[in-house]
Amino acid sequence: MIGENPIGLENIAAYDGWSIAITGISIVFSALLLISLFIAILPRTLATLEIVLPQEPQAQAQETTSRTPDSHGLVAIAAALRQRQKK
Amino acid sequence: MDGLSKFFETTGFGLMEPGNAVMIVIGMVFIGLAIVKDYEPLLLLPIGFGMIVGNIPFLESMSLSVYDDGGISDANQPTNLMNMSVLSMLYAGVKYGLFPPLIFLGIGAMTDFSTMLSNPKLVLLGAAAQVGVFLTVLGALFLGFDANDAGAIGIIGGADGPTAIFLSSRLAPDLLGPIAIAAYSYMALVPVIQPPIMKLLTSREERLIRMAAPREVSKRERIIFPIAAFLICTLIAPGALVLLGMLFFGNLLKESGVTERLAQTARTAMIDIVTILLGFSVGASTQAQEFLQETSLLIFALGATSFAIATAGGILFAKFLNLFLKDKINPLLGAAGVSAVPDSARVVQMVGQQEDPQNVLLMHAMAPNVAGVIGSAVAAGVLWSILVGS
Repeated sequence: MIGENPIGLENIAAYDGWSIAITGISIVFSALLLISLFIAILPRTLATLEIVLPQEPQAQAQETTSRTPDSHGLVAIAAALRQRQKK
Repeated sequence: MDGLSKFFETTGFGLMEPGNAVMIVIGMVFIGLAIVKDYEPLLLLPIGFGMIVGNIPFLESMSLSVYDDGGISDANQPTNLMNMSVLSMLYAGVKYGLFPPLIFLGIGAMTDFSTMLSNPKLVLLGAAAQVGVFLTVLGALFLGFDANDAGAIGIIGGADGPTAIFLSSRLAPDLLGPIAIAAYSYMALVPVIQPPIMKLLTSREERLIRMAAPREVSKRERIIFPIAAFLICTLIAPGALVLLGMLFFGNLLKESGVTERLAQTARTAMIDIVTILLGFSVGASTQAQEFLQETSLLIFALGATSFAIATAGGILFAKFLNLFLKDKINPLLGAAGVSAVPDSARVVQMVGQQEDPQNVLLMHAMAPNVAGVIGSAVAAGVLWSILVGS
């Protein structure tokens, strides 16, 4: 608890603060970097997989006809925010 | 007269202390901000009313507060469940970390990761914003907090209420009240805190950058992503297992297309019920005697700093990336790396539109925004793994 420890850089060193901070941000960054790389190669991997395991025509038709509703929703929200700003 | 005066001493009027009155007024301010200013009403209204409820004084023998848990949490006291208050039963979902994963389930069921999938570079902005967490850990240690407390305080910079509650319930249960209030307060104040920092760190030319339209994302990508992302994150940081497990499970319920009923329940009724109980019981935990301490003020100050650093971290990293990119990123998107979904994305849209009303940044800002949710959960998992047992 506060009050029981010294104040200052001493306390950071006492609790290994520098290594916690550096290790922590490195791990978070690495995890998200890996996710980012995975997302980047996913379309190419799926395109290769498409040759081996083609999607069923019905599933493809459903996919091409249903655009992500949320992206339309986001554009609508953006337009509404603009209107609100004008007022 | 004796009888009347004795009765008066048992009433809330007779037992009221100045601290209780202050907290009741703060609760009313929160309710006012929610109703009049429309600042995160789904959070501030339950919290505000909970604050009022939690600060009505009563006789100690009546066992009415969130802290009257029948002796369960005190090994030196015999347990008597008959002395357990209703408020403490509701608060158990906060204290034992149950409510945050359920909220993440609902968030996953309502989140669309396709903007992130269409532009993977923007994931890194969510990572960069987490620098606020770890710099605040250092700041808290500098001010004399121990490691567990510093870890729980630092996560406020992730701007994620459920994650802050989850981590502080594991590492610093005594600080759960002020940490939760700080986290939710700053989430509600995103439209106030972020814009000045965004304008300070970006030039007008940078704010005018337009982003290319995102590509179409296939259903297969949207199904594979939650499974793969869960495996990647939790194999690296197993401490994030519960939060990210529920987040990606909720997302898979949504994207699979075969469990729409479950996804619908998760993102509507379930998350609403948990939000009501969590907000109300967190508010009720802010009893003046526990809450109005020097520690709470320090936590609020550190929380604000954490938030500001997180915002700045995301923006500066976007500017750094632009040194190497042909298609520049609008650096405002970095501010959306804090995981206050979707408020910080909306703030990016508003600030961008102030320069160019035709510039639609909202959908692009959702990418670092949802990446920030993942990043803050990973940060919490990392801190828990490193600090558990210390």
